[in-house]
Amino acid sequence: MINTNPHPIIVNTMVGQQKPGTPGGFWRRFAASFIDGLIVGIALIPINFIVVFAYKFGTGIPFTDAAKTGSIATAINYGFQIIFVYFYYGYFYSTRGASPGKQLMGLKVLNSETGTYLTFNQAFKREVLGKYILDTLTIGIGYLIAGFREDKKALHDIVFKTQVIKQG
Amino acid sequence: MEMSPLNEEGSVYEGLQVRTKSAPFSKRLLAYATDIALVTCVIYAAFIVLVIPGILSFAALQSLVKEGALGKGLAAGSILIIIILLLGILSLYHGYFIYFESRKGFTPGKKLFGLQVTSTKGGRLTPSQCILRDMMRYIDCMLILPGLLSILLTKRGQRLGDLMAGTLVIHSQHQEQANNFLYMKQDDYLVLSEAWSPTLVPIDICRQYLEFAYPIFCQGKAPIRFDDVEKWQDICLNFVHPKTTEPIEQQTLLIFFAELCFQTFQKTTKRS
Repeated sequence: MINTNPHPIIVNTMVGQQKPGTPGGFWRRFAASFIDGLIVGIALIPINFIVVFAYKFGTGIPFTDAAKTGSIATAINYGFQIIFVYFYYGYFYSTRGASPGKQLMGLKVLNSETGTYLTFNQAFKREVLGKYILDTLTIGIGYLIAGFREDKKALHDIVFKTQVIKQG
Repeated sequence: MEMSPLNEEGSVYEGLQVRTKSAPFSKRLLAYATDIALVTCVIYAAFIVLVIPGILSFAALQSLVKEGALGKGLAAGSILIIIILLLGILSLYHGYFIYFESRKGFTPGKKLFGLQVTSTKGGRLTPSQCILRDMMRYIDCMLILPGLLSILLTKRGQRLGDLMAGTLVIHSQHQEQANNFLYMKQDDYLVLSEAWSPTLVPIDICRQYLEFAYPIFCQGKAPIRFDDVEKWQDICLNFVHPKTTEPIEQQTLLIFFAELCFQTFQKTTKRS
């Protein structure tokens, strides 16, 4: 390709030193996911109520018998939670690169290979498979390693090739 | 909310023709959920840091001193503490909305979704307007139905609190998109694209350049080969056409081109 714009260029040797973003730190991300958890929890309160009431009325189990309803209603609620989390993170990660909690903390989740926003499926893998399964199986160590690595990647970031950065 | 012609026209102020759009219901709901979560987060933190240690030390004091005037005083004090706690939580919840809305017109949650509270008469929001629309949240948001019906049925999507206080929540695409910029701030990007009039970048070049630029600018890694910087600088200049012949700073050029590629990439992948 031929340079058609012969403008003088001031060469700045500081390329790579002064950066628009840096890897997001552990506590900032902890606060962000805390806020996100609250938002998901608040949004699911009506659904959880409906599930528990529908189950109790449907089966005729008295309200005082908490142990009998507990396990199945909880399992249904977990199912709803996973569906909601899929759409919540999928929508926000693919359209704006961050969930509301992450945006409040100035964080963005990017594909670490291409540097673009995640797709719906990648967001699902990262949030549900990565956090619910991988990090739970490693009793939380998956989260903790984010604090000790230089690029601040947690286990779900390493496996599914994502990166959390702090803007500005 | 494309039910009424008034919203599509965009003239929402009384006696003033302004091209603004009233906020869609889904965005207001998300913004409210975000605000509530943020306030709850602050209350949790306050409980862990202040309230639980305070109550434990007070209970310890009470168990030590049970008799006499001091003991009775402490028993009365425990009721007082509960009242103060409730008042504290309520004032935090209301103070958050009243403070941010009267100061800036938007809470942090509203800012994320590009919403802003404005007065239908024009001019700044007065504190009394903010207090009124905040108090009406008990009816609009806690009982759910009044607020929902009011937003869906009124022409400009106002809830009862908005109607009473004479306010209106508007949505600005520009403000919402400010969250979508990664390498530079939106305003800087718009100023530079005005000055440099960039042309459309092919998607392959976008992808290749982002793979090169992303580790440098977002992960703080030095470029692997410095020849690449020169190579990309020349490619950048093919797509950027500055109006003046002022010298260009290399770093600004590379960051601007990264943002250009990023925006182009997001737009094309969204469409396909």
